[in-house]
Amino acid sequence: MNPRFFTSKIGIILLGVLIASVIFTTVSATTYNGLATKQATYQAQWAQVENQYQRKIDLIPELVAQVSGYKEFESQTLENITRLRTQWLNASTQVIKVNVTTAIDQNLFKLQATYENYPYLQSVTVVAGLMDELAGTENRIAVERFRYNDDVRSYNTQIVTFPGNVYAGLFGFQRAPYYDPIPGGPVNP
Amino acid sequence: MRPRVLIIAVIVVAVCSLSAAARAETLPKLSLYVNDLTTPPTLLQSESDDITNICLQVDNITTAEIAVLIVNSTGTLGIDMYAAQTFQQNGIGKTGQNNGVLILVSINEKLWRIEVGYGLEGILNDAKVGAIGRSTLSVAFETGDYYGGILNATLDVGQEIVDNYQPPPGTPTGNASLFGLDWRSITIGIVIFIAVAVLTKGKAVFWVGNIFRRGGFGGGESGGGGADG
Repeated sequence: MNPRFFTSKIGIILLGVLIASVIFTTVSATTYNGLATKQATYQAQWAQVENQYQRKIDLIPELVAQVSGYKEFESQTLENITRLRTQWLNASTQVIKVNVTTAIDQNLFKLQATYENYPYLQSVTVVAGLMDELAGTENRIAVERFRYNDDVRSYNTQIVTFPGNVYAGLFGFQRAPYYDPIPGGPVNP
Repeated sequence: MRPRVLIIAVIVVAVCSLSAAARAETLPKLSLYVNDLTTPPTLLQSESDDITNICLQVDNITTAEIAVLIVNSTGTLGIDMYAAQTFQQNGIGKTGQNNGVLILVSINEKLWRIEVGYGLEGILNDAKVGAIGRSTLSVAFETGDYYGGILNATLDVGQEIVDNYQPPPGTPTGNASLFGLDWRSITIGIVIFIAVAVLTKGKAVFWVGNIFRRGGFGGGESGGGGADG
């Protein structure tokens, strides 16, 4: 090809189109990949939140078995927790799980209040250990929730700002819900 | 003032300002291993060194990193979130192994938290860590002997790690060091050195900064495991 072609009008226009195409393709790929990656990140993080909820549910039978030997803990509270745990495991929808989790948390709160009101219980190694495990599980849930909200924030920000908003609309990326402040989490992450 | 000297002064001030601005954070940046950020200081230098030696030994034997942080208050975050975010931001424990522990003591609030990295949760479960904290750190709040409490907590945690933690096969041990090269200071120093030499045509030389600094942690992660009191 004659080198003078590139300095001619048509040559310059074609070169401009080529450069614009390269830039457009790069921006498109980068933006789409960014959205897809952030979406995968927050969804994986939600799985971590659910893991920690499952961990809490798994802890309950041992907790109930150990503390039921101490008359300071109300037997009605322990029965409630056991019954609600079964309901949680059998829950067919996320909405039911959310409601049951709230009820479980209320009863666990009563257990913890009893534990704190009786210093004698704090000197019982097994009881103290299980209360530590319960508190540790709650903290893990809080940490994973915090990270989930961070990931959702990052994803949602890219969706509403340019050029992410253009590609989000084109490829069907939708805003993700934040973790609900009411214990139990979002209905549909 | 001669123009060249003025330019040199501007460069030095600008570079120092950049360093200062970079340190304006809400959460503390920790260095190996003991960080007493209280006013007035809770520990004497010799006491801090004693605890540092334990952490260094544990790191040398097992590669696990124990960080000790003493603050006046955890502010609005609360001790749980403060510990979790400080742990994450500083990456306590080796990358991949996540074998870090943060012992956090908040003097004014009379609260403590021992935050355990993912890789150590199996041997330092919440119950064990809670028991350690209650027998050492809670006692420290009652007696006022913070050095004794923190030293014993570090010893107990360190002993558990040394007794029960195995780094992955092939992991090099025995390389822990308190100090590392401060590449930022070295770079800044070289830039200023060259600038001064060029501007004065080789008549003046200038060096800034200490090229060594306390090392940072290895990049490990935690999931919120641990206990507090």
